[in-house]
Amino acid sequence: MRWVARLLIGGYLLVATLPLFWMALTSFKAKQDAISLHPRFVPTLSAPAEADPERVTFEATTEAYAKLRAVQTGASASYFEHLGNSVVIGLLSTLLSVALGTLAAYGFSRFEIAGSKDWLFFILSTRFLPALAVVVPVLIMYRELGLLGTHLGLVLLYTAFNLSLAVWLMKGFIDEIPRAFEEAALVDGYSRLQAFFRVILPQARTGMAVTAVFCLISAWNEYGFAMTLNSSGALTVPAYFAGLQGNLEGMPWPQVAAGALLFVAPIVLFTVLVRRHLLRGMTFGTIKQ
Amino acid sequence: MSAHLELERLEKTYPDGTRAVKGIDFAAAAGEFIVLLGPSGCGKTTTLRMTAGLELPTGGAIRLAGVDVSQQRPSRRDVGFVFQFYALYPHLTVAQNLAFPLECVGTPRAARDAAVADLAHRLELGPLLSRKPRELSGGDQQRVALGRAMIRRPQIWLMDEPLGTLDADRRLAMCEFLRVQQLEAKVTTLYVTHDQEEAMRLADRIVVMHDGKIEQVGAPMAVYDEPASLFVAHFVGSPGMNFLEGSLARGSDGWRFVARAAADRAAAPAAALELPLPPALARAPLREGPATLGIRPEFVRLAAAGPLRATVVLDEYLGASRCLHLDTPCGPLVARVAPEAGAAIGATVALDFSPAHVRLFDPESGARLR
Amino acid sequence: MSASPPALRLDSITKRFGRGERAVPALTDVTLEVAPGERLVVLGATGAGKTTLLRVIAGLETPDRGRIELDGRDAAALAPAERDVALVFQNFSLYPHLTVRENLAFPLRAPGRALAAAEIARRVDEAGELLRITRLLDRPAKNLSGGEMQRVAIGRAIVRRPRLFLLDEPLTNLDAKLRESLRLELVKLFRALSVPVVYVTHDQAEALSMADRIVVLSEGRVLQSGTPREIYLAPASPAVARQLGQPAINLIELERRGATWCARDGTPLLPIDAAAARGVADASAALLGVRPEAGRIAAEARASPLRGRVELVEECGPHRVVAVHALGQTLRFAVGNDRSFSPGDAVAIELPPERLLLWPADSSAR
Repeated sequence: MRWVARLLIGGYLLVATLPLFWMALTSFKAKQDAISLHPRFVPTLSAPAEADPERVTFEATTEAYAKLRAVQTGASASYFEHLGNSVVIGLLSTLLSVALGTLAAYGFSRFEIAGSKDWLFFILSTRFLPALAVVVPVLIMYRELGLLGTHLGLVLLYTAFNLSLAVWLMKGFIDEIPRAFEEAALVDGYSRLQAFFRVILPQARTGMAVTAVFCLISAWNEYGFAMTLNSSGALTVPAYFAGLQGNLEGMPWPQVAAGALLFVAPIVLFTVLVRRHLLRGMTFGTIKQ
Repeated sequence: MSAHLELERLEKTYPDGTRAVKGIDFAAAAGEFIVLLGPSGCGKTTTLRMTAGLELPTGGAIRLAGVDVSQQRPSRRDVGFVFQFYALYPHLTVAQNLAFPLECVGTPRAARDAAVADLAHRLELGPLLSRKPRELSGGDQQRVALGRAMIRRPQIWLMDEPLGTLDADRRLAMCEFLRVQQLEAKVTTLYVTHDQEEAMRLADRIVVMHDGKIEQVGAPMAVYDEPASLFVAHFVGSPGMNFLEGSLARGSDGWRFVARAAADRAAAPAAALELPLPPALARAPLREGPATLGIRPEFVRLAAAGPLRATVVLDEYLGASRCLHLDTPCGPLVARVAPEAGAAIGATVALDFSPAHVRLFDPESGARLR
Repeated sequence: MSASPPALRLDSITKRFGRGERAVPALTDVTLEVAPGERLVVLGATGAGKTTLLRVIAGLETPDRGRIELDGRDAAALAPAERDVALVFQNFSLYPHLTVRENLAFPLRAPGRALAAAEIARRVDEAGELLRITRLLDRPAKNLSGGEMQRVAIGRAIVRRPRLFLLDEPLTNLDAKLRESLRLELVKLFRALSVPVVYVTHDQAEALSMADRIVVLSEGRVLQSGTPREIYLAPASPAVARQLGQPAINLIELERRGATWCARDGTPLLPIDAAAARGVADASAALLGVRPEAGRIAAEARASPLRGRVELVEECGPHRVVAVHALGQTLRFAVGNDRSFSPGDAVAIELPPERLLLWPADSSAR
């Protein structure tokens, strides 16, 4: 039994990580090696002696990483500028979503709000439409407001989209924190707002970490709006890569691989950092003590 | 169907080195109601879970009807486990709730219906069978829940503080209900609780556990009257037994107990207490030296003149009786007296105890001297 | 009467939850007083409105109607922070992200209080000593046992030196043995501090032993208020009688037959002119209450016309509880543990008239 399980898990792991592995390999290739019809997957440190077209070796090079700094044909800025856009937009929208979502969720959790169930449903309903269905109206609105191609535009948009998720997730977490926590503080002489910051926020950290991960991933990887609402100003990495398609020189695959690898790294790092919270948070309060 | 249970040198050591159960032995006869009693962390729940198969022992054996089941999985053992939280399924009627455990094990419909009808009759739930749980009162819900847990007749029932979450008054009513059901079903029962009162009321025999070991096994009154150790004497009874520190001395007329003044008091020689010991102890292998004297609160009597003077610190009225908390030169004592015998706080009273109810312990090991 | 106003006075407090048709009354016309230094225990079953009552006093709920006074002054408009009362919750114990010391200091650091750091430290140390938790002070709160947590929770109330303590079943979730010892410590503490206390519980033993005065609450209404002895010995209604005593009081329906009160099956139990029956002299039916320790049972045939058969015997240490099937119901009696009975024994039961309680049969809230 045990070795069958191991085999299955190992097989799945292989399938799941192969694309990542291949991407990493590609980022160290020259363009010819990357687009060769025969797969080349054994890196060597020196150039191959004979140019056998069916060889499996290629010469490892960091050229692709170096070239990330250059402005590509068909683009107006380097990869790193676009990465910067992604970081600014992703972090700001995550921060806003979590902050607003936590406050709204606290309200829904603790106060009697007329029609609160309807409000919550309405908030969730903003997710019913496929996001791309509202691309054109948003485009027209943003053109009128002068938000096209700005960081602010995308930050607001991602926040609006993620806020429903944040409110619902955070409401679940805050519901789990006993009311007595802040009521004790109220009786002890604190105001409602002070009780919220001194007592509820420290308890809600797990929930906020989980919510932040979801919001960040969603904003970080978003492509449709980033592509449509931008020409160049606040182009994020996914849109930037897509924009490289069809330019005169063809797709610079090794650079795309190198850039994508760097693009994945911060998310992985962030998730590992809050992993402890995530594992506890993912049970959504199913274990009550 | 009911089976006898034997635990032999049963041990449980967790991977982190915690020794929850340190080798315990006891046997329950078929149909016997055994209560495992002890404070939290004494290993009683671990013992129960090992018997159920929810945890595996790291040493020793569990035999059910003579068969070693130590390493068997729970479903193979034919045990019924009653948990502390036993919510009813809100979408099923009372009858469906009661039949649910039988459905799980594939009992034929006719047998199921008969069992439900029989149980409903015994629980006096007949008119409620077609109702949904939310239409019942809290007390009825509890009875249905316990009834459901007990509808199957396995070889042994294992109960983990099933009454722990109830209000105190309702808990006692449910104790009686549980005991009547068990007497009728004659299913061997292992019941875990930290409440000595529940244990006394329910058990044929009580197993008192402390720190992963068994302190004493005995019928409720035996445990209460003849505690085997200081721990049992303190833990069983509410309030527990009174203790006075002192030493044993052999006098011309037999053994005497000489109480020591409490540590936080100037030892006034006049306050020293000397008690003759009952003749029953005369043949005990006693030795001169330190000893602890124990006496139940109901045997501490307020007397016009007695060997010990005391000040009343607190007066707890309990309706049917009264507990006076007293401060004596030899340490604090509690006396259970008639409810009319109130005493003003701060008043001085004289105390007397009848030698027949005095128990002696070794202060070092805590073991009973007899 | 002392000249100082009561520490707390509630006048006709009414509180409903929900709106319109489906509103559920939680408290109805609750009127009570707590004298300075008095320990008032509110006794009631789960759902009687005890917790709501405390929350109204603390200012966490606003009553629909009624007046609330603290030390003689109207407190209705005061926010919880301004009332200067301390509340110990049943389930909440401590802030898990703080140490014990920080938990104790938390109420003292409230903005309105403006205490110097040295004063805060002094009070925390003092409370630590009083509750014997000094060695726990620097531990994270989440590493404490249940009893230790509840001690610290009580400490949080003590450090503030409030004008009124409110405690919501602080011992309910603890082990039986721990409950017993902490109960004593609490009474000693309250006596030492001589601060008025409102203590809420469903445990009749706690109520009897801890209270100066008990208020019995049922379905949001005050049924009776008095000293523990008054409430135990002279309950105003069967509902109150059932709340106190353990095992619960035996209730027997009576009807008048000539010069005797008889059970439904005709067994004569009490002469009509008995002292206990004075209050119901004109009624044709009545309800009889017999405390388990009041009845006497004997194995041998006695003169008593009341006979039954032992169903179950339960040990309770100093006494045994014998359940007897008689008069078509189960009656429970407490006897000394020197008397032994077995299931199946035929017994005669004597009911001494001077220890019986009688109410009119239509007594409200049976």
